[in-house]
Amino acid sequence: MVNRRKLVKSTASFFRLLLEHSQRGYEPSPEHILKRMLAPLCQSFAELLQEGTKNDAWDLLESFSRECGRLERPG
Amino acid sequence: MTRAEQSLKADKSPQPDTATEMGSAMAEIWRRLKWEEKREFVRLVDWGELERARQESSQSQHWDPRIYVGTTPAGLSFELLSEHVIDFVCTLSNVLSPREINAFVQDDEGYREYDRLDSIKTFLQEHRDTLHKDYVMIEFDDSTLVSAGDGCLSLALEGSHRQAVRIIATRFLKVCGYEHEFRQEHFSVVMWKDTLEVKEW
Repeated sequence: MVNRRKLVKSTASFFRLLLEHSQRGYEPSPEHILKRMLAPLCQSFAELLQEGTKNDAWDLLESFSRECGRLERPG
Repeated sequence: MTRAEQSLKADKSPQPDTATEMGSAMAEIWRRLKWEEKREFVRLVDWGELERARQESSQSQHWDPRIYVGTTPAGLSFELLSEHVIDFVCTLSNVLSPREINAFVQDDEGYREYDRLDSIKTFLQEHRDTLHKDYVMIEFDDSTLVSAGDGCLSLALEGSHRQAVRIIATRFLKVCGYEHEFRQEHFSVVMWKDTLEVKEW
């Protein structure tokens, strides 16, 4: 049985990695975005839908929102 | 020697790879022009504009850098060659000196936990392939490193670890074979081929 708390934290971390790539001074390749960020996110979403609870989903959304709050938006 | 003559002389050296169709077309035009036409052509060209276009063109290509380190709102973000990942994570562990290290591995078969690691180096050496192709989260107390494979890393620093940003970035570059002392709070370093491009602000 997967540790859901760590799964939520890990998923939020890969979302953070995705946000961080959007802040870099160059455009990462589509392959890099897919393989390094979207693939683990998609896998985790499927796992959370299968094994997680509504509370896990809420915790994940809160984590995503926290990361979004730290985002430096272009002026 | 005039700028036009310098340009004509430079034309005899090998042409750089042109990254766009427009660049290729320009090179073809240049090749076909007669000497007098080239002389006229270089009078029309804004070389500063061309250089800016060349830089923008090279940056807009979807290439991933060999090395990258940059500050983020949470800590630091990295790209490095796979062969340096283990050394860097061990160095990071030395800088952070955590009381406890836990790992969470995500691969095709599912998820695995490794709590209270005795030796981060042993763990990394035993999971060399995982670091290369799978997804790993390593907790150094409250700070968290994620590895997305092939040297793509993100570090979120918490508490007193946040003071270590510049030290970690300096050690990171050292593991990659480069020296740089960071002076500003925010920075990014990128290396495409063999030159570090450093920005600090």
